[in-house]
Amino acid sequence: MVKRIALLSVLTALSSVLYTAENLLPFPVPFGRWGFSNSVVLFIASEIGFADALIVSSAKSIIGALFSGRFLSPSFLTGFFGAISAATIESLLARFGFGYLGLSLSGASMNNFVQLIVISFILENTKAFSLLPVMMNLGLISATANAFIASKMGGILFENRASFFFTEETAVDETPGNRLRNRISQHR
Amino acid sequence: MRKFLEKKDLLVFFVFLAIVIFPFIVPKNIGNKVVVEGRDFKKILSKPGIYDIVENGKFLMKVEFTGEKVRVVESTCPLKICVKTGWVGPGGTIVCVPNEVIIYFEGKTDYDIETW
Repeated sequence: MVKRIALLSVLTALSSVLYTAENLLPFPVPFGRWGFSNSVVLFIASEIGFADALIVSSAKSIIGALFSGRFLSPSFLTGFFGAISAATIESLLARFGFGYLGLSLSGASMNNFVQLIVISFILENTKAFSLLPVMMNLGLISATANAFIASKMGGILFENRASFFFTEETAVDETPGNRLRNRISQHR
Repeated sequence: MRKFLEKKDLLVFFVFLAIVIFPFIVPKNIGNKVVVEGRDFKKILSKPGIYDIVENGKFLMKVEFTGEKVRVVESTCPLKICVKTGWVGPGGTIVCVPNEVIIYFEGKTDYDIETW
């Protein structure tokens, strides 16, 4: 249990820092963000589990919004509900043997869709859905980047013996993701 | 360990592409009237000119209409996203979230009578 809390807190911190740091990157359209912090959520949904992905996605939205000073603004609301829905559908599809790219693309499309639903509720008008193709085209780029980052993340966590494992044993079949999941599930 | 690319991912990828391409296939019915729609007003622009958009006596934005294109000249919202959108032709929309205003071209309807 303690190891699980430590792992989740480290991943939440990483995700929040990514959320805040990506405000410095330029984006082609003024109202968007790249969304690289969702790569951490994708990794958790893929390797650890649904509950943890939900916790980290909501926590990183709130903490990142507090860092960048947009708490409870429309952009925070869209990001919050989008991240939660993306975590949900990624965790769901992770059980059916999809790869990282498929999970990331489905999460990105769900994220955009839910964001537009939230904007429609704010505006009380469904005309906002005309932004969907633009968001999807840019989402294709960031979803591929997120899938790449998440696929590398398990290996990096495992190579560094991420100190919350408290163990020195080496992998038998070089499968960090499965091993990580087993480690975590022992402490449930 | 999950792989980066599985065969199943191609299915998701093609569905994604279908969603992206879908708006380009659907025939657009484009009119030449601009509708400025707010929370509790709706203004239809048919003649070229510069219009002040006022809601309940509060000045929101200036909209310029040339007959083919529309832009927001100035606005009272903090981020000025509607101004940065620039000129928008038929089929495009300008959305201003803080002022809750949407500007779009009215599509031609095939009906003679609209019961509203």
